[in-house]
Amino acid sequence: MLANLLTFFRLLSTFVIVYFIKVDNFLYANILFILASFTDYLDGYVARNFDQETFIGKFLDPLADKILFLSVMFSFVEKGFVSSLPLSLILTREFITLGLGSVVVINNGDIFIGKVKNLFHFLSVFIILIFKESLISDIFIWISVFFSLFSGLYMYFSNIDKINNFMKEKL
Amino acid sequence: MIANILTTFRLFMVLPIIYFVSEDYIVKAIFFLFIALITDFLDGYIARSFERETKFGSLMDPIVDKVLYASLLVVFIEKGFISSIAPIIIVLREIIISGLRGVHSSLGMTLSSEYHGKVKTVFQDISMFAILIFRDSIISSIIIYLTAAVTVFSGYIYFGKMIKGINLRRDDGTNIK
Repeated sequence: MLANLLTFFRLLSTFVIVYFIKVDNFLYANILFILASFTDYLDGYVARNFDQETFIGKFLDPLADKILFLSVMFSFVEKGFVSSLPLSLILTREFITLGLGSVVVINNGDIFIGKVKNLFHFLSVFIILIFKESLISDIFIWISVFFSLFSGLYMYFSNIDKINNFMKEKL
Repeated sequence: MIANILTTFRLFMVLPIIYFVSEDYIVKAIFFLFIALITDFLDGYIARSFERETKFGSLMDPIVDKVLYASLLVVFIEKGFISSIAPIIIVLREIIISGLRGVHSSLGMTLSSEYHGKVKTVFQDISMFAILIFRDSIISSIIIYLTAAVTVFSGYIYFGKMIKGINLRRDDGTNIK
């Protein structure tokens, strides 16, 4: 229950962060973003140790991450901090993996790679909120793109047998 | 086979389309977008009429649609044609429904596309052309918010259907991980 509340807080804060970016209040946006990212660590911990892991939590938790990161990225493109190409690539990766996930039961591949990806997603938002449109922002966003694509490919190849079996089936 | 080649071809057309939009070659962008939509129609038609529909097509077709539309919206924001609000709403809807669909299908249930899903697609297709033509005008804003509303509405119906199905399975005592 507590874990779900934390996930819910993260979803709600997404909209407030987007608002703060829109009105150029980057400090507040960053503080709330750090808090929201912290609840991501917290809710997994709470769910494992105190609560039962619930169905809604397992479904919502990974989606809340994507929702927070992608919404903030859209705001960055609007502000001109990030160009459209990295966001398009990350979106393409997400749509392909989510699409695959809706037809075969995907195991998420290597958890470590996923964690590194999440870490760079977090760092790039944190950095861009401070440095706005700059070289360091570009470097971090492209590292994020790299890890998004890499973890997506890793996921694809760890499930390739299942995917190939699915493709061979006739409708 | 031909249908699958067309779908793959359409995925790779996303790149020139967003390139033309970002370089302000609006006529070229519209032309390529038009070809992409024709191939979308054609591959479905060929698959149904001459070939057997394949799993590849049923999986990749909606993915390519989403990739094309989302990428275009991102470029539209970058060009300042539309604000980021409606695109965020549209992309969140797609992410949530795709995510829930994963849970839903892992329980062995399928969700067929429905009339409101087709209406959503028509709105999205029209909005791409309209925004390319009207650029940063009030018409583009109206159309993108309208499309966001239709997209959310159709998502809401799918959401209700899938939650109902999932709850039925849980009442059966199926173990949901």
